[in-house]
Amino acid sequence: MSANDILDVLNVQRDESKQPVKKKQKTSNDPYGSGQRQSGMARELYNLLGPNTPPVNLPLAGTAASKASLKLKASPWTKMPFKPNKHNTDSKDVTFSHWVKGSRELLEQEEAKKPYFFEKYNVKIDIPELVDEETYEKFMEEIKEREKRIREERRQREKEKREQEARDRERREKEQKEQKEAANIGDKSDSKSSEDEMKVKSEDSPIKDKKEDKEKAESIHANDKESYNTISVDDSSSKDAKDSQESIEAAEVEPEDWSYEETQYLFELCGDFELKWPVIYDRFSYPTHRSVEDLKEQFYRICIKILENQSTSNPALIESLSAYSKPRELERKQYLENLLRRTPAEIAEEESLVIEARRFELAAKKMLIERSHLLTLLDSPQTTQQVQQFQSSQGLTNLYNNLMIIDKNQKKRQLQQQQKQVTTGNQEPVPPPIPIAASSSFKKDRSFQTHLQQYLSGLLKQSQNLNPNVKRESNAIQQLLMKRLTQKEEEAYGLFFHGTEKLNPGVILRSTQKLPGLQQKQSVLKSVNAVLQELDIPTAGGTSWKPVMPTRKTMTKYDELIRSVVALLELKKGKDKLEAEIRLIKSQRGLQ
Amino acid sequence: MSSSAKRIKFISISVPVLYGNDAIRLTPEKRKATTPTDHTHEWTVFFRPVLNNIDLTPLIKKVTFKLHETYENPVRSIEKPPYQVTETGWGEFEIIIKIHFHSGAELGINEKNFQIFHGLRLHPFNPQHPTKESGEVHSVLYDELVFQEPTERVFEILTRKPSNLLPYKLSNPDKRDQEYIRTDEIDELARLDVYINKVSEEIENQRNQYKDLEQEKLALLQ
Repeated sequence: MSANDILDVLNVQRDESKQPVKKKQKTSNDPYGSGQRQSGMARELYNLLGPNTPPVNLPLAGTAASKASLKLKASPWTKMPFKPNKHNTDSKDVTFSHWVKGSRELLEQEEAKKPYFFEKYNVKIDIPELVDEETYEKFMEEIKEREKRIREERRQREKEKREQEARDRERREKEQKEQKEAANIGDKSDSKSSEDEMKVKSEDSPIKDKKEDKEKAESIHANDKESYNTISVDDSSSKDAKDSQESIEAAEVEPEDWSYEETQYLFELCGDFELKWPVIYDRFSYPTHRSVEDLKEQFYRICIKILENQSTSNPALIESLSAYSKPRELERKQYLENLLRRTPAEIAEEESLVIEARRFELAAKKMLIERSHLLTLLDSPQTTQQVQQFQSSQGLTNLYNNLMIIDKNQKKRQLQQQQKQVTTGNQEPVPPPIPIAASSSFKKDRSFQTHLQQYLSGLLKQSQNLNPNVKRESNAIQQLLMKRLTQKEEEAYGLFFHGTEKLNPGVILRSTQKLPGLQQKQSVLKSVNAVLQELDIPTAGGTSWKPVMPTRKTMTKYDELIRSVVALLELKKGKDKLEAEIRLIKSQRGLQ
Repeated sequence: MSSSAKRIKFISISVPVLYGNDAIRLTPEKRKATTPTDHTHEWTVFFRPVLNNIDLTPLIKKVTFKLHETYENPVRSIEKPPYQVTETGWGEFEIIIKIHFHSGAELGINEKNFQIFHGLRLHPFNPQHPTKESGEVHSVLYDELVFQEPTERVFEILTRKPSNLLPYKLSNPDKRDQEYIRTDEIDELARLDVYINKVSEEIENQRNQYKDLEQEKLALLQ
């Protein structure tokens, strides 16, 4: 199949006139000439190129190179026997074979010197050897003794705490009682006898308290003992405690004793699996049920004992081993599990809380920066010299210059600080300057704002809320607000606030302003003019009389005038109607 | 700059302007060789803010004056202040003064072009009015360009300077018919107040009559 066949299949039309030329070119470009034609797959592929010129100069080198390489002599490979554990005399003396590049003579020479190549990966970790059964029993005794002591201590501490609380409670109760009694005494007239009573009571109460304490302590102690013996009691006693605590306490209860065999088994596993605890836990199949933590605990404490009894022990190692605490480990895992079991909602809440916290932090930082700016502003140069020397004009200029220098320095310092913040790559955004209109100080200063200003400042705040990136410096509204104009001054700017009145955006002439009074029919306006003329009001003769000087004020007055005239017209119409009716009635009466 | 094209609602801002024409009878000396012989007056039509120090060029791109079609190039385009056209002629006609604001969304002015119609005056309003010896005629009208709901850009331009500070005194007593001063507005307001009082008096009057008539009607019906 050639390229032309493919083109036929794909229905692609070739420019016939160009083809022959290209073919010729191709043949002439052919580096191998007609004599060196390709054969086999290469030719088929070459044919697929069709009239196109090949993208790269197809080399015949592949075949040539292979031919050339064939001429070389084949490199020798030898099947060599080897022993995997050459230096380990314990293991069985097995011999394996593998293929190695090189001649037998050469390799045999070398092998004598070199260790087995993969030998270096055969590393055993250093685990202390388990002692014999007798010493093991001794160790276990000691360990149990110590652990018991620790537990006792902890219990003691807790008990003390509880006692302290109980004492506090009692004291509080007593105080309340005393107060009540004092109030009662106030009612009674004989205060002396009551005082005596008080004394007796106060002497009495400590003894009582002590007794109570003792009783309580005993009962607690009993409780503890019980819990020490059985799991069920402990569980019931700590029912109100949190889940995590419960599990820890349950674990605290003495587990089944480790027999020597079991410990031995554990040590074997540890050696086999190189202290990879999950694997050890997985393989540990002994009638007793042990958790990973149990396994670790047992291993570590025995190791500690063994190491301690060795003459050359590493104190750092022992310390790091004894750092292991089963309850803490359990707690940690509980936390991790809780972390894993969070619902998406909880995660989202957490994230939002983090973000919020961050925002608070930023706000606090911002406030601090602002405060520091303020403080630098407030920082005034101290007078250390006599005032007299500044009273001459020269002294005054000196003072002025000094002040200028100080001011400049302060500014420079501020600038430097800012630059430092920028250059150190501090990611905290430098708080943007507070717009004057939005800052609280502005509000305080403002004694009066016209409607317009109130509206504008509201607008400004809104737009800033919507888009805080709007440049503030050049905001015209803000600049205007800063001028704090009075109503009169606003008029000078031609500004007017229309309240909620609807405006058509665009430019109009004041004289053509759409006044409500002028929203009348043409006929009405005509009669309005007539009325005006009747009232000797000059209308310049036309129907489109307007103020000569159409300002906002004159136009509103004008509007008022037109509207009152319209009202007058209405009234007149009503009056005319009434007159007509009367006339009608009169004529009717006259007829009757 | 799209934010500056936002319109500020419920606000208007106005600029007082003057437009109109001056006219003077052509004297033989003033005539040029090119002046048609039938032209009797030389006039100048203009548009300008009342205050000289107000610069409207940031807003206004150009002002065109559309003259009578018989003039050569009837649409005269003035790019820079003073926006005015001086011509000679013999007849009165209506001139369309068209104000072209700067266009382009990026500028944020966004106002349509605006037309003012001015009837050219060559002769005094009132023959009884003592005309000036020179035969000068001034037809100057006061008005205000009101930018209703201006864009922030327009607002910014127009609040650079107070544009409504009308003087209280004429710059020259002779220019009574060419200038508008604050007292004119006050006078006009007073006048309008008088008219309103008149009308309200009349309303009171009519209301009383109406009441009388009502009673008369009631009396008749009983």
